[in-house]
Amino acid sequence: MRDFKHHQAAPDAPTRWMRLRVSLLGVVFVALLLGLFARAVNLQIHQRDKLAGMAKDQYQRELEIPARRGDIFDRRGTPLAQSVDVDSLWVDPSLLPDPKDAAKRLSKVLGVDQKELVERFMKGKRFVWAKRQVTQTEVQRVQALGLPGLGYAKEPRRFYPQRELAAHVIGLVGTDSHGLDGLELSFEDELSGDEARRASVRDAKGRKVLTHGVEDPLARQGASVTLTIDRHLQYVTEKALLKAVDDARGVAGMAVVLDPKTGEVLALANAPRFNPNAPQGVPADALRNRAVTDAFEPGSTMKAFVVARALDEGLVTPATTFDCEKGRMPIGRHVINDTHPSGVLDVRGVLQVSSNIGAAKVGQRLGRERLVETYQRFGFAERAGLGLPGEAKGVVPFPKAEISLATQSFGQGLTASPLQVTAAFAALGNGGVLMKPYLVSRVVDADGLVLLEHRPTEVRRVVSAKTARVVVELLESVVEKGGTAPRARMDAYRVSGKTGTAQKADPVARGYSDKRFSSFVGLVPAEAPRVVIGVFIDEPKTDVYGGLVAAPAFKEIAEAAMPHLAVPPSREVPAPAVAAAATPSPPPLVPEKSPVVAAIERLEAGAEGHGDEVVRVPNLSGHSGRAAVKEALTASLEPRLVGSGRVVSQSPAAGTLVDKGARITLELAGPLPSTTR
Amino acid sequence: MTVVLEARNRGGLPFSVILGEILPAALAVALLALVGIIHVTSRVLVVSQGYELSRLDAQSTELLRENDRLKLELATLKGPQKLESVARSQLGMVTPPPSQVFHVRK
Repeated sequence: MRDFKHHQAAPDAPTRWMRLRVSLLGVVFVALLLGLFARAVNLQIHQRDKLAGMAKDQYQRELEIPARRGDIFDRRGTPLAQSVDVDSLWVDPSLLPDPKDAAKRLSKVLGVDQKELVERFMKGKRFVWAKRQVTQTEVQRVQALGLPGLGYAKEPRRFYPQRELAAHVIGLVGTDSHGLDGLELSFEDELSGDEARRASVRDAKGRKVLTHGVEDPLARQGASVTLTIDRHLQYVTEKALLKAVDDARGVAGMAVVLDPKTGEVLALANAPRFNPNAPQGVPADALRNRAVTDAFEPGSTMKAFVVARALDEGLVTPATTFDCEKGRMPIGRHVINDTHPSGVLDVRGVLQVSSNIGAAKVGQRLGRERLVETYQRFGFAERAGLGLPGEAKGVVPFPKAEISLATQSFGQGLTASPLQVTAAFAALGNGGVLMKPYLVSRVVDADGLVLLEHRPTEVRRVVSAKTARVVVELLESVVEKGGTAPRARMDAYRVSGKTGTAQKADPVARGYSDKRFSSFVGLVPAEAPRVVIGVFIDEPKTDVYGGLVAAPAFKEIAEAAMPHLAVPPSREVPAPAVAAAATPSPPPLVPEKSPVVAAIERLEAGAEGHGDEVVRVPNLSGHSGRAAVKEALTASLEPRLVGSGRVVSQSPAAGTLVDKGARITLELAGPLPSTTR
Repeated sequence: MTVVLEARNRGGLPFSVILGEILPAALAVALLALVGIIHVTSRVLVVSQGYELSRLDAQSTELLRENDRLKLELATLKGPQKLESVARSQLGMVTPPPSQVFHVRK
């Protein structure tokens, strides 16, 4: 540049005025520059955060991405709980022409309280939930209203596709997808997943522009939980249990199916049931997982453990006999009674007829310390550790008094949950080794990483393998003729089990009430048990004995479980239908023949010579107890009276065809009071 | 530019000198312009890819939701209660008695 200037004509020498003007101009420019610099410092340093925030608000939005709750599966991968995004309806009340009218119309369509909606609309907020997690039908109805200012946001909702199936085990979640009960609560941390927040650029029209990529949806997916429950077994167990509770008119029922070799819980059922998809209005009582949370006095099922320990200690042998004192044994000022009075019985006989006196005498040989220790070794008075909330521990108090030693020997005066009783029986079916029952087999996160895995765990050996085998064999007599549960006998499989009919304590009267807790726990097949099934009926009314109310449900479950688990039959059964099955025939178009129809056919066939096997139950309603007994005996039925007064109900119902000699239960009540309320 | 240079060159300044003075500045300006164009183009591309990504993300989310809905429907239809009712009422099937169940031993 300098060279270039040298070639220019030399400028005139500036005058002093000119220099002054230039200097002044220079000062002005410097001042302006300083001013600009100061403003830049102010904007860039002092107001930096505030202005950056304002700018960010305009072009950036933070998106909240809700976590995807993990699924729950049964042992074969059938989904028991799934989450699906559904619409939640929100309203901008400022855009509603008439909020009160809109609230009225929306409340009709959505079934929400109109007053509550109006209150929400009047709060002056521009975002108000109208109803969360609405159905597709509700969405269509709302759209048909044509109201302005409505919007839909996607929210995950929990669904239980198997409805009531295993509902007590799985539990349920609230509107915010947080577990409230069952495994949903116990595994909340694993299932819930992580909520994500992602910054997204918005353009002038509010459209999302993902300039920083997208997040892997698996990153916010909760872990999946796989259970040991078998859906099919759970279904048949619940069906059989509901039928048993209905037939017995019981207050509640519980059933537990375990694999004795592994301790896996194959089914865990409770009655009454509930639908976790619509838990609103379900009484809290129906939500309780009684099989795990409730501890009862189990009754005679405990005799099996007392006998097992006595045999193991060499205190008795199967041939040892006990005088059962014709069903009445005084201990101090108390008397122990047997339902079926007996004379001298061996150990098999004690179990077969469920003699309280025989069990008490076995318990006396065992002694106090060993009795308590026996129960503790079988897992009583300690939580099984299934991982479900509110698991009962049960109580096995030390029997200080002689009468306590006797009653505890036949399962009264101590408490245990249905799960504990079934798990203890499983130990007998597993060669004397108690296994830890478990319900959750695996918890796997979205990346396939195994967070938790349960494997069969031995707790302890409770009796020797030989003793366990002997006890299982002795218990086979219970389902045979002369035992307390012939209704549990299966044609194709050997069954080994024990009935229980416990008196329930009356907390008010501080004694025992006339209410019962009836049960049957059995192993099948007895020669190599594959399942142990416990059925428990709380406060049965039509009949009270475990062999009558619980054993049929056991048999129904076992008959479904054996083919399902591909267990070969213990013995050959005559199969007259084989020939028919071998030849292909069109599927039957009529439902399975009901027992009543079968009985009628048998009655009709009886006209040719077998008519004396089946009788029709007479109507005994209104009869006095004496008259009813007389008429029942005349009809070749075995009457059983409950209460006193006149017959108010009978089971089986009048007109039912039953086998000759069948038991008929008659419920009696005194005459009604003459005054009315 | 040439006209200007020629006009200023009347004083006898050699053209090579002028070129030597101007060219670096011109190249610098051209380079800056190029960088600017590349920057703006890349920003436009990023934004347009952002829109595309956003569209695909929304599509993917919708497909996942549809998949979840279908899985749920399938699980509901395969529920044992439903299956049993269809098998009994529509297909006339019955539960086989134990004597009709055959076990195939290996």
